[in-house]
Amino acid sequence: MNSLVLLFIAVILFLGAYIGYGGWLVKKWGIDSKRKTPSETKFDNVDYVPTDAKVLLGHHFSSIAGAGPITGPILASIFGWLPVYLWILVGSVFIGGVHDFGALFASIRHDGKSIGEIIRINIGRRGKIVFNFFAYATLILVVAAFTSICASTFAFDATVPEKLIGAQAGTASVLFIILAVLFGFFVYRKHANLGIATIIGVVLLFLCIFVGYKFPILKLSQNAWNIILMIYIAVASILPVWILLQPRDYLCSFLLYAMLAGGVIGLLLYRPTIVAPAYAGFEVGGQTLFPFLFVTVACGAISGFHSLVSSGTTSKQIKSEKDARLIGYGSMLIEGIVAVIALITVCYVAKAEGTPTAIFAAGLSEFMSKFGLSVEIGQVFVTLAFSAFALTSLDTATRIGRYIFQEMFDEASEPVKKVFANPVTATVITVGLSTGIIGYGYTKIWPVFGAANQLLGALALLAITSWLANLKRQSIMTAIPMVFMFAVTVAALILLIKQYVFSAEPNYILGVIAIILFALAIWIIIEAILKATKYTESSNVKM
Amino acid sequence: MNIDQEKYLELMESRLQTYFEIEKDKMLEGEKFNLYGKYHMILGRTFLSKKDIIDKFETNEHVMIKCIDNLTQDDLERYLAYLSDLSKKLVNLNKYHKSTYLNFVLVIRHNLQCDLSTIKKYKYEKIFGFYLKGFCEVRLVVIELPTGKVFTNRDGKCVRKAYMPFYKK
Repeated sequence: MNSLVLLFIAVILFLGAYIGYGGWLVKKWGIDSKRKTPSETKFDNVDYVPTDAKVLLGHHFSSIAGAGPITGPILASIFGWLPVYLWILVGSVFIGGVHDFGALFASIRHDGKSIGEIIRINIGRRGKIVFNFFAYATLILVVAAFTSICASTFAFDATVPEKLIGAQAGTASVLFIILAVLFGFFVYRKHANLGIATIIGVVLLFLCIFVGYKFPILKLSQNAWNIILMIYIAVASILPVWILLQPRDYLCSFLLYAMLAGGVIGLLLYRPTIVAPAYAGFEVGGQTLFPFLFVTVACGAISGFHSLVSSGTTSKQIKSEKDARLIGYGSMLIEGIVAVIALITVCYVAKAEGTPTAIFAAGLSEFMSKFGLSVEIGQVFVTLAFSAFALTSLDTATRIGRYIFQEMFDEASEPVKKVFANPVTATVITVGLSTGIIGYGYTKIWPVFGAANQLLGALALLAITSWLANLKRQSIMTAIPMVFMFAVTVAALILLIKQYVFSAEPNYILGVIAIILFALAIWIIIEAILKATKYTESSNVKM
Repeated sequence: MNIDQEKYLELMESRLQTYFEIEKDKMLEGEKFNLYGKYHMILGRTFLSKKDIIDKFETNEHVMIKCIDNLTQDDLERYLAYLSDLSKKLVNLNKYHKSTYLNFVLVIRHNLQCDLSTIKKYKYEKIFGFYLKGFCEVRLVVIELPTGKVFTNRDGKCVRKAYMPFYKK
């Protein structure tokens, strides 16, 4: 079967869903294009700034697009491409899209407050403390999983010395980080014109790829990369954001656009045939399709972090409520397309081997070779782009983790607070805890992370549902996904606990983390339901 | 079209007031300025609420405009010495500090009587904690009203247009 069929069906279905289901949501939720948005009512030219819908779509999409929509479908393809494909389609249209759109709309109607704050309103102060513990445990998993993925991607295997892709991408990544610091220095300190600096920066970025490809000097083992990456994220999390992260993220966005454009054009020219099995069975590799498919493919179908990380800033910049459909719903559907492309890269070969990054890079570079780009250079380029996103996610997760850790000691006695609310201590402990589980590898960590991430999504859906119900608006479109996501995540955690604690080869550390997540999740659900009942009885509701 | 100092101050006030907190006849470290503007911007990322700041940084800019009749070499050197003292007063060094720019603008009623190379070669920058605590930079701008010419040091080039003594057409 030609994979373009999968892509075209997805594009047509998503377009139809955008117009049809998205339009229906607009009507049912009472989106009012004449109503003033927070960017107008609270305009401060800093956070609250009316922004053109197309520009905001770009910002929002680059914020939510990370390594997730690529890793998830590739890992889940062990069940066969069909269930993954269907989950991406159904999840993006009816769950993830509704979740992102609803979170953005609720945030707009709450004066630009982030969905996290709306959740906080719903779960109260005690719930917030529990929620912080839950989020912290999730973030440790994020740091461990993404570090492990990056390290295994950059690793050099001395037993296969001719395979240099990891060393090439690792060398290019280090050069890219140096380039980003220099770029920031010239723009901030030497008053370089941003337009000219960007052109030179992008040219040098591609030169980094070429140099990495020609001179792969960093031939290091996975463990060595684990250590280097842990040090890197610890330093990057403490350094002022404008020195490294801001210029790196800026240059990184050009990698994203180049990779997307190259991938789509290459796919259209290559027209790969799907050879992987459509369905591999309900139980594969000790995991069952339900619930693990639905927690493994996270960002490509629904992700709780979308609502937490991005709706806080986007809702403050949206110019008109009518733009919420394009930005909230539309971005999720575009991410669904990225997930479908990732799925194609793993399914056009009979048996894909390697890390999700390596599989994705091999597939995309093969497609891009159709318009003349060498496969080897293409692989370095895609691997660099993918790892750059993973490093961005890593840095953000470490910073949020550090912040939550510091916040836990806000009310502690002064000597305790002085030690534990210190950014360096908090970073070292956060990274240290992740180091404790990194040895298990991303394949074992990912399902626990996926379950925790999806649970955040379920909580956001709970907050949106109770808010809509209180407004006497139809909430079935968020209530059904909420119930489904709670069922999926709770089932996944129970099965993971069983697998890690009660199996012949127990893994107590991941088992304990799963138990903690499960207990905290149940506690949060109870708190949220209790609070939501009170919230529903209250008349002080944002219309 | 040439304008006088009073009109220049009006023009600058209208240009700067959108972004700066403006004060007139401001005394700073014993020196009186006809117009003073302060800009303070905080950028950052938050997590759950606005209070949950996971990273942020501050950018500050001070504009000091002083109108004088003549600028001799001695006057200029005195002002330059004064600027290094002023920077210590105006830089509020905290853990979020990224940058403080001091835009020192002298508006001269008559033609300059000082060495232009002193203006062009002037450089004052201070780096705090290897950039971890940011930096401070002085942008020197000298405006010769009779000719409408604007002279700046190297760092002042990027703000030259903002202090042009012309109305926008």
